Amino acid sequence: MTAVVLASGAVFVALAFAVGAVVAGLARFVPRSWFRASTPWALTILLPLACALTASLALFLPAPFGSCHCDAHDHHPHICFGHPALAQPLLVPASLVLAAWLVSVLPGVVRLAVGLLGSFRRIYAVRRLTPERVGETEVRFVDSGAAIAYTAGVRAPVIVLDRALWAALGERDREAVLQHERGHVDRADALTSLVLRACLALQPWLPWSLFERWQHAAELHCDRHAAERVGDPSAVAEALVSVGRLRAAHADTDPAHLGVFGASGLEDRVASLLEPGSAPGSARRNDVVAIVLPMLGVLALVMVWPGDLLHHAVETVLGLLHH
Amino acid sequence: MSSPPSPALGELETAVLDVLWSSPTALSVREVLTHVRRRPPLAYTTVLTVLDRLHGKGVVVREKEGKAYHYSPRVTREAWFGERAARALAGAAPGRDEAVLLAFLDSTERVDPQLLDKLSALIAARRGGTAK
Repeated sequence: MTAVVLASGAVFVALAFAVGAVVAGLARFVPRSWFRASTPWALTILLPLACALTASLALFLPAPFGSCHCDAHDHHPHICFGHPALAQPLLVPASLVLAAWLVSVLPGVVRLAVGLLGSFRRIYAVRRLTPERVGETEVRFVDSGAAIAYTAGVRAPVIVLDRALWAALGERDREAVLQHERGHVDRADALTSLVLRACLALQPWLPWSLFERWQHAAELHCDRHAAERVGDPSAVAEALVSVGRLRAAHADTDPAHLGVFGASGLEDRVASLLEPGSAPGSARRNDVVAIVLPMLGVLALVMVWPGDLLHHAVETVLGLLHH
Repeated sequence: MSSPPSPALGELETAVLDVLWSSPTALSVREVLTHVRRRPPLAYTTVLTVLDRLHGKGVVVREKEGKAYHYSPRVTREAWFGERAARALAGAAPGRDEAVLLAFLDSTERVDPQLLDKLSALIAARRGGTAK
């Protein structure tokens, strides 16, 4: 029984690695301008895990849901709950694959846990601040002296604004910043960020730049959403530059922490807003929900058909590797 | 006591607030003056100004008793320092590893003033083009 479960786990890891390598390889050659939407970038991180999960679950198929097929083959290992002894030859290699994976994910999981702890400490602190209303929106003001504006929290995201930043911005800039942050709240981007970071921690072979591309696309989306609400894309572009100027006045940036887009992130966002006819960004669509729900549908269909074929295909590949 | 506002306070304001926190009852300006330990001693008018400023910031409440105002802190010492700590933590620039946070502008992004000038010119040109 243990061999069946371990073999399924090893198949999960191996397939996530293989699909991840293909996806990351293709993504390197995709120009940024091809995918302005955030969902395709979230998909690049979720797809390898979805494929791996489908194949590894298919390995459990014949015994619990159908008749045992073990007498139909004699040229590869059999993974079947009815005859666990037949999967015995896979015990050692599967254990090695899983052990190597667990060791490789450890640093990422620790980093994620530390980041989560930092976020939750911040959210706890933010929730202690007195809420204030700006129009229809509830915000918390801080006196950081830095030009910061952010949205934090998964279940009930909170918008945080620096009081000095707010005072320095004009009326239209304020509206643009607020609507941009509301875009993050409506799209539940913090939830997506958490899920994608967790998926990346489990797939250390995927490059971090995939997450940064999602993040950049999410910012573009919220910029367009703000532009639609404010009614003028150039007003949002101007707000970005205004906040950038205030940020430059307090610059103490550590170059080691620069994202993949560096300064071009801001440039690209402004250029995207100024593009004639740029599509408005409707909020209220969470990337994880948009991807996971159809994926679960596909998974359910695969389990009905052609799950059994997938099961045999995986066994055949394992047989080729084993012999 | 209600949820505290937490503006930045000067050294003198903190010393006066400390006296109010140490007292179980509301204090007059003269009572505060006798309790506050400073070298050289403070003038009555200085304490009055400081209390007035603290009242203006919403940190203390005052009630008129006879001809003079009596002052008491609006928040407990614990609530005040809790709020200060929360503000400091909430106001820290977001780090790259914070899992559930999205900033308006990447706080780790280096912003070049020349780039900002170029972008401003781009926006102005676009506005000019639209206006035509």
